[in-house]
Amino acid sequence: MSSAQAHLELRGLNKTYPNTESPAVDSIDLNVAEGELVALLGPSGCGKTTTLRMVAGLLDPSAGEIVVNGKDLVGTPVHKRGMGMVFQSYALFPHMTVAENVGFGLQMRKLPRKEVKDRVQEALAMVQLDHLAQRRPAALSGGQQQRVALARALVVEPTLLLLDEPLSNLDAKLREAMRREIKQIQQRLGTTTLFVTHDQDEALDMADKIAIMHNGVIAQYAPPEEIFDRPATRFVATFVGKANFIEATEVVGRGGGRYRVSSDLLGTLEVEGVEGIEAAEDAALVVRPHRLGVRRRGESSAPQIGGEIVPGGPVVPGRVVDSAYTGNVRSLVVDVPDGQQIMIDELTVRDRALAIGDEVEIAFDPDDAFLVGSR
Amino acid sequence: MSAAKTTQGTPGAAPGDTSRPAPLLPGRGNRSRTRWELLALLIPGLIGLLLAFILPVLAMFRMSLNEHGTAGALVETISIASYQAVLSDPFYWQVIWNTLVMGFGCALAAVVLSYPLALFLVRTTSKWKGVLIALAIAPLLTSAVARTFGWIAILGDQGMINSVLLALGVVETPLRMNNNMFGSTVALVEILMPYSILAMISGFGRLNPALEEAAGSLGASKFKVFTKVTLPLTLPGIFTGFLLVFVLAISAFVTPRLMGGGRVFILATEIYNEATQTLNWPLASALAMILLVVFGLFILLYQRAVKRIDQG
Repeated sequence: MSSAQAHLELRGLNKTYPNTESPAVDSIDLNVAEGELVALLGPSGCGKTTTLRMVAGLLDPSAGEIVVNGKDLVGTPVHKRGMGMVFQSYALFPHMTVAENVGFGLQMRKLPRKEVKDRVQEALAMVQLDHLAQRRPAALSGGQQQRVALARALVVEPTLLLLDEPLSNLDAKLREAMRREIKQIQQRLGTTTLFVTHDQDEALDMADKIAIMHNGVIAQYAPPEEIFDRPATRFVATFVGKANFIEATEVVGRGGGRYRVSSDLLGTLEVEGVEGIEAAEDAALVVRPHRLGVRRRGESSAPQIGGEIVPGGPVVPGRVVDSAYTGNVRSLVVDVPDGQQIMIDELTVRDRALAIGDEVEIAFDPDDAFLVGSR
Repeated sequence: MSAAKTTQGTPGAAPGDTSRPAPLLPGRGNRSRTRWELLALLIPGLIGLLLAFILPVLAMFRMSLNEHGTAGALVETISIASYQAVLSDPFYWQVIWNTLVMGFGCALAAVVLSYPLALFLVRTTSKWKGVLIALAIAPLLTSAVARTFGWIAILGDQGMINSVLLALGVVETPLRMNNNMFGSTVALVEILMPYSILAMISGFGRLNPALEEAAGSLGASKFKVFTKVTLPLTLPGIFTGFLLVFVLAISAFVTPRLMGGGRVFILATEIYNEATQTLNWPLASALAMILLVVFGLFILLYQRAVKRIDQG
């Protein structure tokens, strides 16, 4: 099985349902390079599934273009788009065997019997289900059904592979195994893939690039590390991972995305941030809970737990008000002077536990703070 | 009808499908007790069936073995004279034939007319869905007798259609649409359609919009989606609707009697005639038993068909 690598571009794609005020998908642009796996990530109702259904041809856009390999597909009916889609419910045909399900797309393309048979065999071998070819979908486990759905979508050598929350019906262990399997198959075939999910771990793990969607627009489109370390908006920072926000009182641009930021809590720091922030109003420093170091007050050069305490970095006093233990991580909530609460995730160390009521000092490396604007 | 209902309820359970996980039964110790408790729940229904169905049928079977005396008196005996009388008389063969033709005609027409409606009602996402379904079966609120009279007013010689055609000069003499098989069938189809719509709606459970979308995404045109996915998945519902209308049509009495004007000879009307006019109860019972056998045969055929669909 091979794949003609396709390039997908969405231009001003818009979907406004009748009798609604705001569009479900608000004129988005998205560029997916050949062979890339792009995740559309966002909370329910953010427009990610609507976007995927428009690309598939299951929904007509209100405006905009869906360009695959330079050709606008708006108006092309779903059965002529040549894409492969895996549905959340898998949508396997219950009245057909596994082999008939996988062969359906090839039959529709009127390929000779022999070729259909060979390619079905090959696709089922790829997902390690060749021994179940004559079973009915109802006789398969969830993970097996998922793999049949994947084989059925890929056997037609689609221009694009579209995945709609494909792992959400599997249990946690199986989900992680399937992530790897899908990613490996996708990389081997090099099929350009658009993947809808509400699960940030899934997106961070699998995607080459993630488009974070919120209220019908793309809040950020970047590789996973950049989404996590340099969130474009407060929404992105809260939706992917946990985030502490420290409100800025004064922001001075230093050019090249660097700022001198003052805040009541931390004094004045020199940090990186989203480009183009001009005012302190609504601007805030994002600090991830696991990048904060914490020590009991008075332990001057304590063996720091979790993040590294950098000499010369800001140190903030506080008191532990909540502590949640999850095995490898202890999540603390600490009251700090300006009335705010700071979340800290520290890796657990044997025989050392900060308890509720403990007076502590929080410290961090200013390079781990990132300034986001009002958007 | 109970046979149709139970079969239709389990289209997913393909017999012979050994890979299906075993039902979750409680532990071994409780197993027999649970089974007895479940059987006990059936007892009230079984008593009802015994009193209201099985005993009367047995009594009717016994009656069919009696003889009709020359003076019209009932002769208690054991004989198959009534069956011989029915089966050796070409008239009754014609009656059986008429009954089957009418049953098939009604079932076919009702299914063809109901299918698009049922499909629409199952698929619509309108907030009026509940109201629309209620409207589709609302005709059941009016008695079949009243609706039959309505059809006489429409199809009769001086009825709506003929009056219009005569007034427009399209026809010279009224079209014969009443007092015959045509009128009976038209009225029965309309009267029985709510049942086929209901049966189909409940039989379309395996249909899922994602399946049709999946077929489309794999390259199937709208027509192919219908023939390869929609139709096969709705077949159990179609069969249930067909069987339901068929058995209701061949057992219908009021509508064929009124619309037929005594000129439509089917089993139900003949049983009535023999039982109340000729007072030949053994013959009426024999005819009723034959009707029952026809029922049984078709339910058997239906179950085979459904089994075949499930097994592919």
